Amino acid sequence: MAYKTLVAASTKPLVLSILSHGKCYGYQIIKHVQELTNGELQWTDAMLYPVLHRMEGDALVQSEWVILENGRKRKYYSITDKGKAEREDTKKQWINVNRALQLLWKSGNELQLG
Amino acid sequence: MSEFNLEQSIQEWKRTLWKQQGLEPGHIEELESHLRDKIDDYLEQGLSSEKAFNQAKERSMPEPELIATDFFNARHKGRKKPPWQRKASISSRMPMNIKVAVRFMFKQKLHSLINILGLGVGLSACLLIVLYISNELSYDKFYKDADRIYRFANGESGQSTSPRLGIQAKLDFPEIEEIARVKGPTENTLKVDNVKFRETDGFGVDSTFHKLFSVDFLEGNPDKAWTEPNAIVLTKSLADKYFQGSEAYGKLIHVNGVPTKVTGVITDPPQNTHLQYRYLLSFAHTTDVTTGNWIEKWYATYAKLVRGVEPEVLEQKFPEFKRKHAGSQLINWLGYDSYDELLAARNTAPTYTLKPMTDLHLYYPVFAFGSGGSIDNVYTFSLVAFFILLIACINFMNLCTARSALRLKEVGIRKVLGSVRKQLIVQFLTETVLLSLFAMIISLLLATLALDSFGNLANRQFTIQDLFAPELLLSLLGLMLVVGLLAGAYPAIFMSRFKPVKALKGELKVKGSNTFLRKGLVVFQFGISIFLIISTVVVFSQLNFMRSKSLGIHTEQVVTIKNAAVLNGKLRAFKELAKRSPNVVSLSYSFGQPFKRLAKSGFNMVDEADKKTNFTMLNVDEDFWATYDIRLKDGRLFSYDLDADWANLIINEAGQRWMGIESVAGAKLGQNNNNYNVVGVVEDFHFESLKQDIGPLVIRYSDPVRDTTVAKRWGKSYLGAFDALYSASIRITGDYGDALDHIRECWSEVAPGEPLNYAFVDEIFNRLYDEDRRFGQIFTVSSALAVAISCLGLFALTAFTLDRRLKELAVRKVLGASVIKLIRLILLEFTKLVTMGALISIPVGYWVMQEWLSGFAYRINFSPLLLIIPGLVVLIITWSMVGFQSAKVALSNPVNVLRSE
Repeated sequence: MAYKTLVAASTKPLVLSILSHGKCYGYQIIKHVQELTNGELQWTDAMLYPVLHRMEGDALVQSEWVILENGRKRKYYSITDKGKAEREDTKKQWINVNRALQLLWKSGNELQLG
Repeated sequence: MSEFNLEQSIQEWKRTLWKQQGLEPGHIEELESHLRDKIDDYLEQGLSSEKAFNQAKERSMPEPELIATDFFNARHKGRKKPPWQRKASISSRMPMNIKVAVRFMFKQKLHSLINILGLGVGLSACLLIVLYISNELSYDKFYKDADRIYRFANGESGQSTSPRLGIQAKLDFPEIEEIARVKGPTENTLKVDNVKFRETDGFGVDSTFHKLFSVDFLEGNPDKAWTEPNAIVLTKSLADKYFQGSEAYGKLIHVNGVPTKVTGVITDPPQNTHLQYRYLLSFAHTTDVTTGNWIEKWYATYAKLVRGVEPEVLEQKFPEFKRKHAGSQLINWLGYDSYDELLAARNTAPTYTLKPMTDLHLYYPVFAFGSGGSIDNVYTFSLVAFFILLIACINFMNLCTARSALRLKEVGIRKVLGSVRKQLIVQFLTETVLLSLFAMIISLLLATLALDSFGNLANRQFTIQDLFAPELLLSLLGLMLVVGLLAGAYPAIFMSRFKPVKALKGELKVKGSNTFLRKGLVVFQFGISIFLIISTVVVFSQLNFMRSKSLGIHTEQVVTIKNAAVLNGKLRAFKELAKRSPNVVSLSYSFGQPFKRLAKSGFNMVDEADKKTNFTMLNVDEDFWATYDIRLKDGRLFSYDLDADWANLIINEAGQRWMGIESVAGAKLGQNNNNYNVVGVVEDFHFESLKQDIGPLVIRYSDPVRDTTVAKRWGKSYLGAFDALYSASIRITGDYGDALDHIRECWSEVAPGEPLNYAFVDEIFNRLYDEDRRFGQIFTVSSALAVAISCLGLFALTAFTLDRRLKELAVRKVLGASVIKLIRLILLEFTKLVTMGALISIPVGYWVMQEWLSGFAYRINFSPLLLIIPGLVVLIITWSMVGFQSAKVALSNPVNVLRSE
């Protein structure tokens, strides 16, 4: 299981990245994350929605209600241009962190600590 | 078990979300859609619908409140907690509470006014009394090391001590750090630049005075101020009067004709000291001062003990000390063979005692040069203040409680709108505390306004600073908070408990403990009021009785000249001049005079030397009898032949009773081994306060007109009488003004430049009761206040009682009750309360007043009327107040009341 802090920190980039593949509703996002992380990243489902609302408030995503044939309603979220820019930003940061960790963990790589 | 219904369960779950303030409809639908997706997944996995629902809810939906909090936080950045999680703090609600309280106060203007005024008036009276008490308790405490300064008492209660005592004690006891002797107060003629002033309150003091009593020197050197004879230290006010701001130090003034140097100027003594000096003279350097003796008793001796010395330890050494030093002189003087014989005969077991200086004013007023304190008064007024406070507080609480009964509906609505109990309690408490704080402000205002007149009443001076002393204000504030909280506590706790539905329907009966408590308090209030009225009536009857009691002596139209001593050598001339006017009936010179402090001296039966008692002494000339209208009962008056009569005595009836003789023929009294013939008995007359019985009196013949050496001849026996050696008493008739003008003319002819210092004897007599009269006045004012506050409370309470029974009374009237019957019904209830109050207070009042009266030798008969009338007065006040209000209600048209609901 992932650390709580990691879950919290990765929520936004994950949501933004998933939405850049197309619009999704909340349940769908959670399922995607579970699949992508092999169930490692467990979200308390209901807690996603406040995050989505806040991102919508920050204009990173936008939402629309869709009524299905069976009469059920779903709220779909899609990424905005501002969200895309934000995603690129976080992407750089995550890659950077990832690269650093990879380098550190590569065998035979010695750090010149002074 | 009923079958699981998925749709219903989802709806129920949704309802739990609806209750949350943080969630909005859109949020809940989104969450619902999420839950449904999850359930669908579980159903696909083959779970039963019940299991699917439960698992979905458990896995994805935490407690509704948590969800709501998250949603709230998503919307509001910065705020720490959503409102439903915030603790409702009292302070955050205070502004609203106060707003409501003020609104409510204005809504019921009359009630609030009565309530605030009642408490305010009571409090202000209390404040003033507290001021008086704390002032009384503060006497002499401001002196540096006041707790180490003691006053020597001769025996237990003799305020004057021998001149040698101080000197010898300082030599013998290392426990004594310093001694100062004080003599006075005296009245002297001060001549400054040829203008004569007659000044009272002069004291002779030792050069060590400033080492005991911390006085501030504005001019001069304290260490040298009283070292030389004929030196005077003036207080600032006197120095300003004489020298108008220019330096007084070194100036020469004449004190009783003797050139005296001003060696210092000191600040005026504060009002709370028993030593009210206006100028301080140094002692003459004669042997009776510098060496002293053990015979005379002129001095007040003060001692400052070394830190840590217990006075009791020192007191134990005094008997031996006195025997060693004073023994031989006293044996010679009093004519005994040995000191033991003297001790046995005089029974003077306690030789000297030490009285703490700070106790003089209240506990030993005779030691306090007439500062007029009384610990009994302090206790009495503490009690009165307490009573007034109690009545005022009871009133306040009563009214607050009564009023709360009208607010049932408000409580109901508040509860429906979501108030919880705690909020209601705080609301009620806020209201009462606010009222009590208003009362506090009113009381401070009233007390400030009444400060001066109260000062006059109490014969003290109070300043605004005394009133607004931080400690006093703080304790007042504390008291008000307590009273406010107590007054609010009952309605707050009781009312907030109601179920809203019942409260709204008006189903609740505010009876039982509520009315019982309130009635109990009213009974108590009536009781205290009746008690105070009883006390006032008794005190006043007693004072009136004393004023009108026949004294056996003529006091009206008798003028005395206090400083007749300045006539020395011209007494005859003055007498003859004065008698020329038809307005002057007679003029008498005497040593001592009635109602002034008189000397006492021990006399014994000649044949029974063991039988002895103290006789009060008067020395009179031949005109004394006519001036004071004193009648002879037996024997003869003096023959006015000095040589024959100077060793003869006239006694009063009390003296005769003590001697146990039928007639004066051959009667003799012994004093210090001399025997004197008793030649006459006069009818008893009062020569002291009516608090004292008429004691045995000895009158001797002396005529300063014929025999100017009389002071020398009798002087030794009268040591201790500080007053001028002799005074003149003049009986006048006709117009006061004419008579006084004539006396003044004669005076200025005989004693040019000397101020004439006269007083009326009946005024002197009345002054003996100054303290009592003052006591009576303060008592009257206090009880009037207490009764007024009670009435105020009663008025408001009646209004409320009637208000709550309007419907009942209307129905009764509709059913045929007459107006009279209705009024009687209400009156009966209050009559019961008054009667109960009277039943409690009358025995208490009787007992307390008997105790007070027992302090007077001549007192009124305690008639039962004195007890019953106050009760009736209160009853009548109650009836008129309640009757008036209930008549208004009873006369009104019942339809108006019944229609309204």
